[in-house]
Amino acid sequence: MPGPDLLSSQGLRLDGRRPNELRRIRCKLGVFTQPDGSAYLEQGNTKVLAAVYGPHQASKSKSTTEGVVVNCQYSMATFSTGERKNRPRGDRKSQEMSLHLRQALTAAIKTELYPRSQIDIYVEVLQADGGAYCAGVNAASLALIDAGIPLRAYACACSASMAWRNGEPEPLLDVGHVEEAAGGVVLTVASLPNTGSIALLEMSHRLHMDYFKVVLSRAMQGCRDIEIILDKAVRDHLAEGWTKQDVVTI
Amino acid sequence: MAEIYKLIHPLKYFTDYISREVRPDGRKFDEQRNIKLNVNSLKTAEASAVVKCGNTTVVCGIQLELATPKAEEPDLGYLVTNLELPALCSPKYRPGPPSDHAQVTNYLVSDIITNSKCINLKDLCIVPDKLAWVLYCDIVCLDNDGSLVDACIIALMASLKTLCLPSVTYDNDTEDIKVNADIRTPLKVHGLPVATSFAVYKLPDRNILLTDPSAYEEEMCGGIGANFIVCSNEGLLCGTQKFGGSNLLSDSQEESLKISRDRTNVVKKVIETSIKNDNEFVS
Amino acid sequence: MGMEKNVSKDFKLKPMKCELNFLSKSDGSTILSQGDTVAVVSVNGPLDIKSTSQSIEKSTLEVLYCTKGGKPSVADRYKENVIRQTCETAILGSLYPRTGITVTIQELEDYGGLLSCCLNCTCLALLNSGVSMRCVYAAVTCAVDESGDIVLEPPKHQLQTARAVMTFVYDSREKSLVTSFTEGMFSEDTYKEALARCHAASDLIFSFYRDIVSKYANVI
Repeated sequence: MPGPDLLSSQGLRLDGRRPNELRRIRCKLGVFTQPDGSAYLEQGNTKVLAAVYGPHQASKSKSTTEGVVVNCQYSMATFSTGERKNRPRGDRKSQEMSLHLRQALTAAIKTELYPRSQIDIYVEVLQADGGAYCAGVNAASLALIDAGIPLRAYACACSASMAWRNGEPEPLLDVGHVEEAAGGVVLTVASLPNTGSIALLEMSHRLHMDYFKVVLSRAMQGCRDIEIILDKAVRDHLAEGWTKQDVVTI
Repeated sequence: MAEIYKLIHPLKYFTDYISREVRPDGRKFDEQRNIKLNVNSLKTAEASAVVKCGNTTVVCGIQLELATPKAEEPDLGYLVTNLELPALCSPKYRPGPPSDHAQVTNYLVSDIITNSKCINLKDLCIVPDKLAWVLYCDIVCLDNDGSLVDACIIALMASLKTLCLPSVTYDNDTEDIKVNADIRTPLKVHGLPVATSFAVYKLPDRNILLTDPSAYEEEMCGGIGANFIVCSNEGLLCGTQKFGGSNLLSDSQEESLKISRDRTNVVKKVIETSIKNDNEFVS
Repeated sequence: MGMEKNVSKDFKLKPMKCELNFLSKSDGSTILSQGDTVAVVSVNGPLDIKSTSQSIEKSTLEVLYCTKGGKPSVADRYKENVIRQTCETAILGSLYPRTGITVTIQELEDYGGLLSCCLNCTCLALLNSGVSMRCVYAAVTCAVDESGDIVLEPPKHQLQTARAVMTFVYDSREKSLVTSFTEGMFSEDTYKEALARCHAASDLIFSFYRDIVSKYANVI
């Protein structure tokens, strides 16, 4: 069972947030010129970049007539964590994260529109402070929109944990690094809030079946909140006018 | 219209601009792109800097570790520079092991830092033969739009200049190591190496020197990366590298040395200002 | 054949010895010794290569640099890059689109100035292989010793104590700078003087090339 110390007697979390509060999200679309689409997203102290290349011709071995091949790479900069990482990518954790990214984003992309093609999505974590995967999905979602790739809905990811307050279960939204390290349960959900469907669900540690529903619904609520933030960022970006690279003069 | 012209006649498009004494992005031949610098932007690294030269974006983070010095050089610490060119930064790179170009650029950057002698490795030694600092300087390129070496050196030097080493006490008898992160001394940095990249373009009658080339210009000048890099530290040259592209005549050499002198002053001012701003922000 | 020439200027280069067609199986090969530094280069091509590395505009040049130690390092990548870029400016690659030219370099003895020896040897091997070239090129190494004097083609012990080591490559047509790379710190004036000294010394290498070619003319 997770320690009761995750919530103070006033019902505040270790970093001073309320249980249902997200960390501050700041994001920007179209930050780079080289990729077809790019986005930068900050969720608290977690900072990630996403870049999208494509759709372009897929290599022969990968290409399918069914739909586009989504190729994801999740990489953490060597200085992103307090302890220096020796391998930014290719280790098991990064490979697993790349796979999870692909699953979440393939669900959002209208893959059937681009047979025999490939979309490359690269996510780089510059600073990790818990929930780097969630921030990666959200950033990649923005980058896909910046690249102009048709999506079914926003793909949003959010994590949730569980704490006890006065003997009542109290789910915690958007788990930070300290809470992750405290050893509580972490439920990560990637969903398309618009359609209400879940693209990826992953849980670590132990949680009683009875409480699963509350934690899940809190995480889903987080995804819906994030969707609103992302949607606003996209609208603001478009209101600013097309960036120079998007203009094709004929 | 211009976009299509560029696609159909790539060479003529470029030459048309150059022969009218202007570059496709509107700069003059000796004009540099704007430099934007932000120091201490990452909390997980001991020192860090983000630099933007035009569109080229580079992040540098320094992390510290303790290690025993090499037996043959017992009074020297370690300075490890590593440049990463992930597939994210340019459509030319594929995911996978580092390309030849990444390895060569990495070598160039660490070579410039060693040659300029801006860090005395003896300063990194705590107890000879027992304990020394390892400075892991990891540079990640986020957007490669030419003149990569210049941006890397700026990011690296800005981070080194802001780096403060925690004090360490070492007990010779018990071999007990105590790190006090509250008492910190700034690392001594000797001078400020600055690199200036050029691309050399061949017109029928003369060669043109393009300062601070973009990725597109580097490609048009036939090189992977810049053709000519001049690096100087406090008035002394600490490396000139010329690869590929058109050949250099001696008068363009003079010109390039002059431009690199001017650039050194600009970069120095940029780094000093941003470190000052950061200090004010902290206090 | 050996060569040791005293030009009007007060310097001379290390004696150079060279044999063309040193290897029987490759399209062009050369062994070159400059003083005690020795390198062997073999050139194969233009050959058919796999379609992913083909270029429709020019031939793809591949350079392999083998050290005596065997294991390739990042520094070797750098040397390969230097040699490849230099060769690319010399070869008329547009005559052989969609093909590959492979240059393999084997270090034999290193008593200083190995990289410039490799570059010169590569140039002779390319001549020997009959690949069309725009020009030939010559590499000269010089060092700045502790007192600030410039020493051409320094021996190994001087390289270790030198303040700076510079290598310049000049082409034969315009006598302009093709490639340069340096180590250590030096002033602008020293740099310019070194450029001029190496420029003058490159003429000796070009005349050496001419001697070699005239000797082997019936074989090439």
